[in-house]
Amino acid sequence: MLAVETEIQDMLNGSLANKRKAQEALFRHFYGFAMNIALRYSRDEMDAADIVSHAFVKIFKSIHSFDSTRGSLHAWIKRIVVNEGLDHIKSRTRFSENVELETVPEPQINNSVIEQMGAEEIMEIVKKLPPATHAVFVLYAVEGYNHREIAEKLSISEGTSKWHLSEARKFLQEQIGTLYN
Amino acid sequence: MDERLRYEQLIGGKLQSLPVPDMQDAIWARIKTQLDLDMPTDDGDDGNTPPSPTAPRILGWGLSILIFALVTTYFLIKNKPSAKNNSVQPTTIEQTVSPNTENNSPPLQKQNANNKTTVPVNTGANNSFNDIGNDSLAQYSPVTNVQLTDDSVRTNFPSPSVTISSPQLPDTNSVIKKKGRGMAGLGDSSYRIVPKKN
Repeated sequence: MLAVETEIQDMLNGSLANKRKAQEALFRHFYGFAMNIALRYSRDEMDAADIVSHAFVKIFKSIHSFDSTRGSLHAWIKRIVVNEGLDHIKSRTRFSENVELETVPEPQINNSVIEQMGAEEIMEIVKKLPPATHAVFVLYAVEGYNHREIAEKLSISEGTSKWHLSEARKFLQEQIGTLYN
Repeated sequence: MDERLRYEQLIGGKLQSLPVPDMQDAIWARIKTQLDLDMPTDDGDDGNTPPSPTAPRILGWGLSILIFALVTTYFLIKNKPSAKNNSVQPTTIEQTVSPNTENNSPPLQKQNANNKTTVPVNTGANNSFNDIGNDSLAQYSPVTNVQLTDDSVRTNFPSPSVTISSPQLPDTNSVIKKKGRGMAGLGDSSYRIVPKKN
């Protein structure tokens, strides 16, 4: 076992025993990873901080339910942070159910333009999306979920998920086209 | 439709490397506060919690009370025997009356009579002014096993054998000598009585 894995296992055992030092060490070890996820679902850093703090409280409260045979600790923590991010978006918006779409038209976006853009620049554009559309786009494009999984996560239909993705693509094409044309 | 487009993969990759703000301490403080409320722990002080100010205060009060109690007890115990020694008790008389005694008068009378004759009481109140200077332990020497002699009170009766228990001698070591009054070196003999002249 690698030293890092042993270290993580010690943090995990200490957190299971409700030891603050171990919980703090585990939080600090996964802070960058969790904060990066949270930033994708938030409008600003304060929102992201809210998401991370709520997520870690849930992590420590339910750490006994983590089963290393079913997946890695990273995947388990990511799922909790993503769910917390979605809860955060749900708290300030409402997912409309009366918009459905069977097919999403493909946008005309120059890939070379995206390659030239920085992460923060792209994020600034994504943040301009309506919250529900923002959530669907991040889940689909960044996290890699399909429409069925997104529909389950957000308690919406697959058609609604497709509609939000279509809206996101149109908006991004427009924004990126405006910036670089 | 479920296939990610090339530009989406690019965006996904870029967003994985967003710069993270340094807010670890502030966020941990919030998490810890929430955990302390929801999941209190007894794993000891982590350095953030100041010691309770009431604990040493209670300890201080307890110690003060304990010391006060000990000192009080010590003085009570110390003063008890010395108080006994300082106060002059009348001599106790235990009287045993022989069973073959006849024509006994009521025991009360006899006892009163005996007390009258045998008790060398020195209460200090009877001392004359001149005796004050001669106050010494000798005055309190007890009377032991006094055999009553015939006197006017009991001439008509057979003499009962009276046993007087020996009183406790005052501990000369524990008795504090009184400081003599008047000038040092003057005694009774120093005074000359001169008859008044007309």
